[in-house]
Amino acid sequence: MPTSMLMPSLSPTMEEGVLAKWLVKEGDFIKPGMMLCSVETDKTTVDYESMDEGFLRKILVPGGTPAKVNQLIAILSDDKDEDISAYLEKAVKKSQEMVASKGGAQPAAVAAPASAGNGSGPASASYAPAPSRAPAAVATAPEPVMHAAAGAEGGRVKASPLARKMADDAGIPIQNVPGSGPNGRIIRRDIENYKPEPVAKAEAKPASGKAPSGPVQRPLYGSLAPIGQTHDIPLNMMRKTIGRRLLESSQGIPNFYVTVKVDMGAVNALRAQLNRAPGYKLSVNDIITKATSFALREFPAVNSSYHGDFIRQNANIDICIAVSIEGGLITPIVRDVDQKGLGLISSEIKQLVAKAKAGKLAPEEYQGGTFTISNLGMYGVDEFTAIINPPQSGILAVGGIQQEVYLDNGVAKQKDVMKLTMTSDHRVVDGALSAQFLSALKSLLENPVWLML
Amino acid sequence: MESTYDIVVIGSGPGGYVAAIKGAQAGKKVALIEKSELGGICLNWGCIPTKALLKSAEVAHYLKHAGDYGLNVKDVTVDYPKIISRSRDVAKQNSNGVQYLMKKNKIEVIQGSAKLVAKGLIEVTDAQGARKNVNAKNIILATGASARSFPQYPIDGTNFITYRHALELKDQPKKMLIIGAGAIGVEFAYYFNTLGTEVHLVEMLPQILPVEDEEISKTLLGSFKKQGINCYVATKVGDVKAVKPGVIEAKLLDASNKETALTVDRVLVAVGMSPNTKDLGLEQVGVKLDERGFIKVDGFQETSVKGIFAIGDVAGKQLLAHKASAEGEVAVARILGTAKHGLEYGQIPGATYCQPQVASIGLTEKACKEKNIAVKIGRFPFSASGKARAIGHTEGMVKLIFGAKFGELVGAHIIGSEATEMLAELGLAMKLESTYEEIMHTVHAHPTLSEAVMEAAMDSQGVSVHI
Repeated sequence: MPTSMLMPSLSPTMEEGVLAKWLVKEGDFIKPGMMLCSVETDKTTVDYESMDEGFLRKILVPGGTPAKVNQLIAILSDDKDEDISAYLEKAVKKSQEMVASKGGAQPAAVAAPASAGNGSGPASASYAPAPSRAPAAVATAPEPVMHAAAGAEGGRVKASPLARKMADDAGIPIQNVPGSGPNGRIIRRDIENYKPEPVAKAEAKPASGKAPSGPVQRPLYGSLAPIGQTHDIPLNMMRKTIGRRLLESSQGIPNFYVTVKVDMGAVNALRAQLNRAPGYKLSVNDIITKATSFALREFPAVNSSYHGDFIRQNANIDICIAVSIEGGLITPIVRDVDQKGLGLISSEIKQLVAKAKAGKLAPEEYQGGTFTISNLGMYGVDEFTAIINPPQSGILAVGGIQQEVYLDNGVAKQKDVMKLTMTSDHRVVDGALSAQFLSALKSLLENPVWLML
Repeated sequence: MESTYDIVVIGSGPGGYVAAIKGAQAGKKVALIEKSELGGICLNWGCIPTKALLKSAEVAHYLKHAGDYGLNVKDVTVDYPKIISRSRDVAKQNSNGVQYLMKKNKIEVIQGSAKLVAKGLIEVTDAQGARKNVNAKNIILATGASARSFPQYPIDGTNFITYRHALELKDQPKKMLIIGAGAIGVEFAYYFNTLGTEVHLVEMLPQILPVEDEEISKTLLGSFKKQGINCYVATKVGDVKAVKPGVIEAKLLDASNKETALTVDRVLVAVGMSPNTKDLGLEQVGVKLDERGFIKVDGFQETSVKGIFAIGDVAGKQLLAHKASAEGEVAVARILGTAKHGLEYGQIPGATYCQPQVASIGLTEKACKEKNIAVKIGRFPFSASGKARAIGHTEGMVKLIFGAKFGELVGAHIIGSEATEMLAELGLAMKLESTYEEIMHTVHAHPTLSEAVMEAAMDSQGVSVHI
């Protein structure tokens, strides 16, 4: 009986890959585990391992040709000389239909993570309590990827209810525990006997790998602390999510950075004046948020998100504010910032920050958003770069206000300056656009009275 | 002619015959040596025939209370020899079943008494005194245990009897003293009492069924007293002697040394078992015993001599058929090289088949206290169960003990009409390391007695629906 071989999905985000090279040829007998072909994915080149057995009868996608995920790439059959023509015709038709329908459904599928998880900030990651999301995406991938995911976050871990509770209590990441029960089920005994790999040993590995003959060298920073004081802190859900999304973003997005220096004299003066109004205590960040919304309104191309097949220019200007909280960070959202006055923006941000610190944000208060602002100015930072919170295409990193000496007609004077660094997704925002956007933002901040318009 | 077997099992009880089958299933050449009936005590003189007797007692109990169910039954008389013959027939059928299994699994059954001569060499003497040698790469000792005897209770089969005599008594005793209120004593007390014998049950320890949870034991004691069984706990048997055949005078001494004098026509001695280690040649090959006389084994049932294993009663711990079978599996797995873990002795269920039945697994409340384990206890009385009321068995309860911190099932204790059958799900729960959550969120069919298990789990968290 003939069977179809389809283009595998070798990464969660893969929609298409280039079948770089066939490693077998028509007529070969294929066994499970045999390497069939090399596939270039959106991230890397992977050798695709067969899960089927049979004779490779027909290659439909020659080496060097791109193919969509689940597209028919070859036909196998049990018998070497079996007639496959009828099957071939049907399978090709079915594959075309399937790939076509999958293409149509694509935007929705990609958009899903955006609403479920959003967040960003200094490190641009989100505290999205949706651990099932990543595994769900991976679950459709074939065997090679499944193996990687099983040990990873969210993969099905076989463990007894007691073992789970004990691991939770002890802060042991249960997927790291080797199971000794039936089929590797993790049971009480395994948690009781679990010892995390000692840090010293883990450090020694790469060192000895590089210089197998020489003595194991401890890294410099390690030498400051005696071995006995090192300890391993297991990852909580937030840290895992931060890690995963941060990596996705920094590896998957062609980032570039543009920095401007803004004279903050006018903002400081305006702020002092506004804060004399009873009941108001505006921060510099409130004003920057408002100014950013105006700049985004002027350049809607920056207020956009990348969705693989298309770029979505967002109708609303919903700005995420990165908030550092215990154990991580989260990015609550101020909605329709451009429609709101400074007073309202300020009070909303204060409320959101308080809720975030208390861990009481509702999902709709941190999911979504079209642009992110991360401000480390209060820590005396000059400038920094932030990592984009996908599918957003930009994040603004705000440094602290510093005094700077300048010459005014040969007379030394001082002014307050602040550096803004914008990280952009080059797939959406080109360098000139980013520069124009920042220039507009700089003008708004140097002429903050415009914010009243 | 001498032949070499991969595994030779000595003793065909529930430990031995199961080990033999497991070995044969794995393709090993196996022989089973038995000096008496296949199936050992369990099938022939223990678990199975006593359950047959107890069923007769239960039927008698129902007939006695037939009026409660709206049925008038008159002139119920006991045909004692028939009760015994039914029990013997049941035992015979089971023994034949083992015979069939041996044949099916191509296990050679060798009739005779076995003696270890050297490591790997066994001498078998048959009933006629003929001897032959059997060579074995591995030997599994599964010789079981026998009723312990005491000089003050001279077992003669008429005045002083053991469980074994009780199983084939020709006549029903009129007044009986049962010494020892372990599972055997308690089951026979219920059996004889229900059939109309006046029963006096004496236990030296402070509770009947001393291994069971105190609260459960007290419930049973109350029930036994209601049934008319004379129970004496924390009581010693003083002078006891047969003044003439069928007339035995006994003195009982309670904790405050108060004396009770009894005259009975039969004394059933049910005070423990001792391992069958004699005449096995253990010393000769160097198999060591522990201080209580049981064969010393490691976690995988291997004795002090490599290649010689011991399982079941002869290897000590709980003297239970199912524990013997489980150890048989461990020993064979060890021989095959597939054993990963030995038996978990904290997870061996216990069952006593009086009415109400008593069944348990894991730790008692008292043991938890002694081990300093913080627990949460849930109870559900059958009096609150609709099914129990419908079938007229509202006595008893389910008592579940969970670890306070993680909620794992630490102990399960049931007393009630179907307690022994109800225990299985709790054994599984314990094996799978379930917590109260899995038990209380498992939907139980309504109406069943097992709903009480779910309710007890809920009660441990203070959220029982029906109490």
